[in-house]
This record gives sequence, C-alpha cells and structure tokens, in this order.
Amino acid sequence: MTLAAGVGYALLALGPSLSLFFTLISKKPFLILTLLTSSLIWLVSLIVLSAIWRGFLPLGSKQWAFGLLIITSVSFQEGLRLLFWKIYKRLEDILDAFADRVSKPRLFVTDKMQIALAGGLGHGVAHAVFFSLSLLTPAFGPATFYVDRCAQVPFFLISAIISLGFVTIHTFSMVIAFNGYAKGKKTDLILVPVIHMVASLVTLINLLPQGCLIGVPLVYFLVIFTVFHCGKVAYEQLSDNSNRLPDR
Amino acid sequence: MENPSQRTRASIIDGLGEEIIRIVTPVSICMFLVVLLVCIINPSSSSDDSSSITTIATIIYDEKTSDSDWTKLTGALLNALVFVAFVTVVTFLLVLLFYCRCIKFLKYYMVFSAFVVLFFMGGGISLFLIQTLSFPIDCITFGVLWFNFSIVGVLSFSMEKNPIFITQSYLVFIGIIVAYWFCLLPEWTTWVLLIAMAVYDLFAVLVPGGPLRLLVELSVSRDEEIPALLYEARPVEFPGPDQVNGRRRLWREREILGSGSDSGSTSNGLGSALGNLVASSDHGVNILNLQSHMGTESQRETKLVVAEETQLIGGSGSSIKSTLGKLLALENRRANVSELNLGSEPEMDLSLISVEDGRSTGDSVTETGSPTIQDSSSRYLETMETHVEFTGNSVTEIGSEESRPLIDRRIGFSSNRGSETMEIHVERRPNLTEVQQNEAMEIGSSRGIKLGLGDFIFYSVLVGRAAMYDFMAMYACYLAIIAGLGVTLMLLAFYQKALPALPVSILLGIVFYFLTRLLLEGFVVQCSLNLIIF
Repeated sequence: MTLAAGVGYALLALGPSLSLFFTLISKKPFLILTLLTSSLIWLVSLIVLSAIWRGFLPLGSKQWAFGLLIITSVSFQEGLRLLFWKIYKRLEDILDAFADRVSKPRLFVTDKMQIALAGGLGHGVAHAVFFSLSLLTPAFGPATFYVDRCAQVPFFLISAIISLGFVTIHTFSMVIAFNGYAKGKKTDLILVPVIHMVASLVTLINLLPQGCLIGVPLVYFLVIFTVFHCGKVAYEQLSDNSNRLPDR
Repeated sequence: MENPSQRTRASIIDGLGEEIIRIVTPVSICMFLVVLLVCIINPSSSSDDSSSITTIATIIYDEKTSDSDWTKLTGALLNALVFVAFVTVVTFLLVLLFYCRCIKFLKYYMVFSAFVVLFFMGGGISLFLIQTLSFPIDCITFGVLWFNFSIVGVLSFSMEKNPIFITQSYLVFIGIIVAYWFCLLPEWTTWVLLIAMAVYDLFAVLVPGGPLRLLVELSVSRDEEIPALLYEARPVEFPGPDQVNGRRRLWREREILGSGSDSGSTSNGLGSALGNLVASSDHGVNILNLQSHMGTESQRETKLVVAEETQLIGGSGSSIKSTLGKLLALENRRANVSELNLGSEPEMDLSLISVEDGRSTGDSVTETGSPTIQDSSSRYLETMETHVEFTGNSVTEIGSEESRPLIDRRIGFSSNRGSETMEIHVERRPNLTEVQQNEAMEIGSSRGIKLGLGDFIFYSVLVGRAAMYDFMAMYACYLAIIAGLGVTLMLLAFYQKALPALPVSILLGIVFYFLTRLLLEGFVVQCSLNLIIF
C-alpha cells in the first residue's frame, strides 16, 4: 500500500531470519557461505520443478492437480536435502582432517548445529524471497490486492504470514534432519519429510473459499511443533555432549 | 582439552572463507545499491523512443520498443560489437602506453576520469534522486557538497597513504555510478553487451595475444604495478597500535626470509611458510594454507613464521613464539631497515600482512583512452577495470605494489595445493628500496583478493537489469553471480594465474535470468496466488 506496508510485509516474512542472520551467522564467514550455497541449491530445485511443471500450467483450481504438484515438489526437495546431507558429510570430513592437521579443535557439536541451521536458513530465506517477497512490488505502491478465496486480509499479508511459517519449518527441520542423519535416528528422519509434506498439503485447504482461516493456523501448529522438537533435539545433543568430552 | 562449557575457544569455522566473504560483501553492497537506485529512480521503461544517452554502446543502433525482435537483436549485436572493438582498441593502447613506460600519464588520466565519473555522472544520479524524492536542497550547497565528495574520491585514488576503507568505498561508489548509467541502456543491447564483454574478457585474459594477458606479463616481468582501479579486499578495520607493530614485523620477516632464502628450490619449506604466511588474511587464519607449512616445519624450523591471530592460535602459540623469536633475532641482525619498530615480542597479533599495500597503486591507476565524450571516459574506466586479475589464488598483482607482484596472496582454501603453490614467490625482492619498504610496512595489512572494478560494474548491471524486470529474477541472478564468483575463486586456487572473473558469473547469471523468467515465474506465481506454498 505504501512504502511502510511493503517494508512491513517484507519484514514479516523475513524478520526472524534477519535476526538469526545478524546474531549468529554474520560473524562466521563459513556460515554465510553455507547459507548462500543452500539458497542456491533450493533455487535450483525450484527451477527444476518449474521446468517439469511448466507445461501443465495454468492449473486452474483443480485440487488434485495441485496436490500432485505439492507431492512431487516436496519429495524432490526432501531428496535434495539428503543430497545436501551427503555433501555436508564430506565437507565435515575434510574440515576435520584439516583441523587435525593444524592442531585445532575439531568441529564442535555447536558448530555442526550452526552449519545445519545456516543451511536451513538458506532454504528458508530462498523460500521467503521467491514465494513472498518477489511478489511484493505492487505492495510498495498505492494500492493493495485481495485474493478471492481469502478476502479478509490482503494477499501480501497472508502470503507473508504463511511464508514466515515455512521459513521456520525449513530452518529448524534442517537441524533436526542433520541430527537424525548423524545419529541414524529413524524417527527424526521420517519426521522431517512428513512435516514438510503435511504442511504443504495443509495449504491445499487454502483452495477452498475461506480456507485460509483454517489452513494458516494449522500450518502454525506444525511450525510450533517443529520448533519445539528442534529445541528438544538440540537440548539432547548439548546435554549428551556436556557429559563427555566432545570429539565428534 | 576442550570443554564444552568453555566456548571462548574459536573453532575452525570461524575464520574459514573469510577472504571470499570479504570480496562478496562489497560486490553485494554494490549490487544492492544499484538495484535500489534503479527502483527509486526508475529509468524509464516508459520512454519508448529515447535512448536518452548516446554512448559508444548505442552509437550504431538505438533501440526502440517498436522494432521487431530481429531488428533489435541485430542492432544489439552491432552495438555490442562496436563496444567490444572499442574496448579492445583502448586496452591495446593501454598496453602500449604501459610498455612505453608512460605510467604518469596513465595515472593522471585515471585520476581525471575518476573525477569525471564521480562528479558529473554521480552528480547526474544525485540530481535524479533529489528530483524523485523531492529533497529540498539548493544548488550552491549541493554543488559544494558534491564537489567535495568527488575531490575526496580523487584524492583517495591518487594518494598513497590513505585509509583503505575510503578507497574501497569510493571504488564501490564509482562502480555503482557507472553500473547505473549502464542500466539505462536499452534492454537487448544490455544483454548482448554483457555476453560480449564476458567473451571478450575470456579471450583477453587467457589467449596468449590478448591485451590483458600482455599487460599482466609486462607488469610481472618488470615488477611494476599496472595503474588500474582495482578493488582490494583488505580488512577494513583500523589496526590498533600493536597490530601495526605486528604487521610491520611480519612484513620485515617476510622480506628477510625472502632475501635470505637462497633459491627458489629451498622454498619448499620456507616458501610454503612464506606463501602461507602471505596468504592469510588479517583475521582469519587461512588454516588450509598453513597445513602444508606445518608439514615441512621440521626442515625449516628456525625460519618458519606462522602467522595466525592470537585468538586462534590458542595453544599452538608457543612454538610459534619461539620461531618468531628466532626470526626476529635474525631480523635484528640485519640492520637494513632502521625504522623497524621491533616492539616487544612476538605475541601480538601476528597477522599476516600483505607486503604490498595495494593502494600504492598510488601511482598507478590508469585509464586509457581519449576523453572526448563524457560517457566514454567511463567506458575507459571500465576497460581498465575489466582487467580482472585473479591471479594465483586471488592475487591480482595488477595495481599492486612495489613488491613482487605475482601471487603473494592466497586465499586459504586451496587445501592441498600447498607445495605447488608455494614455490612461486619465494624469491622475494631484495631490491626494494628502503623507502618502499618503510612505506609498505606502515601500510601493511593483510592481503585480500583483488577484483577489477569492471567486474563490479558488470555484475551490478546484470542484477540491475534483472531487477528492472522482477525481484525474483534479481534474486536468482544474485545467487548465480555469487556462485559464479565462488567458482572463479576455486579455479583461481587451482590454476594459480590470472583469471577472468566475468565469464562464469555472467554466464550463470544470464542462464538463471532466462530460466527464471521463462519457467520459474509462472510456476511460483501460480502457486502463490492460490496460496499453495511448499
């Protein structure tokens, strides 16, 4: 609607990520690089998906078509997460070998979690930018835009809110996923894709008229669940490691 | 023993990749500001017929939106061809002048064109800004302020000892100004021009007869710096007193080590030490470099100087201190340099310093070309600046310094290139005059990657153009360019010689731009408008 509104929407979607960035990530160049890399990977995955689906657009409002789209997209992205993990594992080995050679401490547990967090944040930021921020250009002007099916709030607001939820999910589920891969915990490993899939499928509810009234709070339940679960995982990691000398 | 509760210990990821970030940050700032300018001032996509500037780049064909695609394409190709031909001619002229040792001329010309860019072109942009934002200011105040701003910029390029931060900022300003003016070119011309410049850069730097390569070889063989506007990614903080001492000391050590080493062949241990030394940045330990040095420590113990920051050294400092102590003793005996302030003892920040202070491009910056058209001066600026040299792992000796140009810098991450990279610069220049040594010492700081200003400009033009279309395309291009920059840096670490920075990034940027525009946008907008988000 105006500059203030545009900036407000942008900050709504990206605010927590910005604060995470400035407090945690901007101090360590390596994390910044991780963030940029994971953003790029996410962008590439999105391009591939859009290449696949481009022929079928516009989809109208067929729910099954969108459902299919979501399922394929989410599976692809989760597959990419696995790939990301493998790359990270190799990187970790290189870093550890390097640290040994210069007689420095190996990667701490917190380091690893920070790398995972930076990776997740990269995904989240890329998501927010592409799904929400890039559409904000009209919001800086004098008018606003409402979507039919969700006429209570301007489109920009609702998309920013949903993006915020997804940013959080991406960020923290990467930490859970890395921890799960490292420890081989099946529950966590299954949990992450499931959360992603469920959250995306829930947004299908938005296709129904007034669906966003139900859809968005459900997404936020999942967000809160993810955050708490990640907190639990982190706490376990840290307390595990404070009881013994960390070597890994 | 690390104790998780004692987190004051720095981990290795603290410093890794710092050099890259130090070059990525100004590039990002430049791009961001250009996008901001482009969005605020909104160079009219609305003016159909005016290509408001007649520049070298549009001399043949002035694009009008009413033309057919084919006309636009051929016109753009012609324009780009003319521009590249022009740049080539000018670069050869530069090589000729350099060959004939007209360094002063080049320097003065560069300073002059920096002034022209800052004052006239930058003034134009500020006037647009004032107009768009309806900012109340009178012309006298504005004139005085702007004139002062430009003069400070000019001084920062022509003087030798000024804070690196000022020079860096002014370089970024110049990049922003020129990039903005480039964004005003018609669309097709811009894209074709970018591709043409990327190809030109590739040929000019890599092909044996290419002008940039000649320039590099000339400067290496003469040990002179090329006058150029180059962005050097040094750390920006002002050193505290003991840091300065530490740097001076280290520099001297390097010098001595260099002249002390008998031949390149002994360089293995020593050279690696030096190389490693030289390469690290002020703050980050480029640990990866140190590894090879560590391996050969046994051979060269007395001379190894490991520079790390004390905060990172932690426990390994003791051995370092001893070696450093020996080194200092060695140094003391060679009383060549009187002014060495040897300070107290080794345990300050042994930061690595770059022996050159890149800005003692003091007398180097250059420009080539005839100042006939006002715009063209900026083109010249660019021609100079497109001399991207990323040598070695990042050194661009261009414009560097009195010390050995080639490759004194390394960025940390070339993990195992250790031995091969090392040999290169051990034979230091024992023929540095004292004055030069002292100067270099005082300004010594650690080295960074050098990136030509032309790269800044063309990256920003690409992103600015993408932003004129859409933000999604802009972000995609930004990521692509940064990825390309990363790839170029890796290649640099691998190949150890001057590399063109434009081709990879521009290519990736263009590919991503078109992919986004054609594929991604429809997809994402569809999903988003239906509030389907994943």
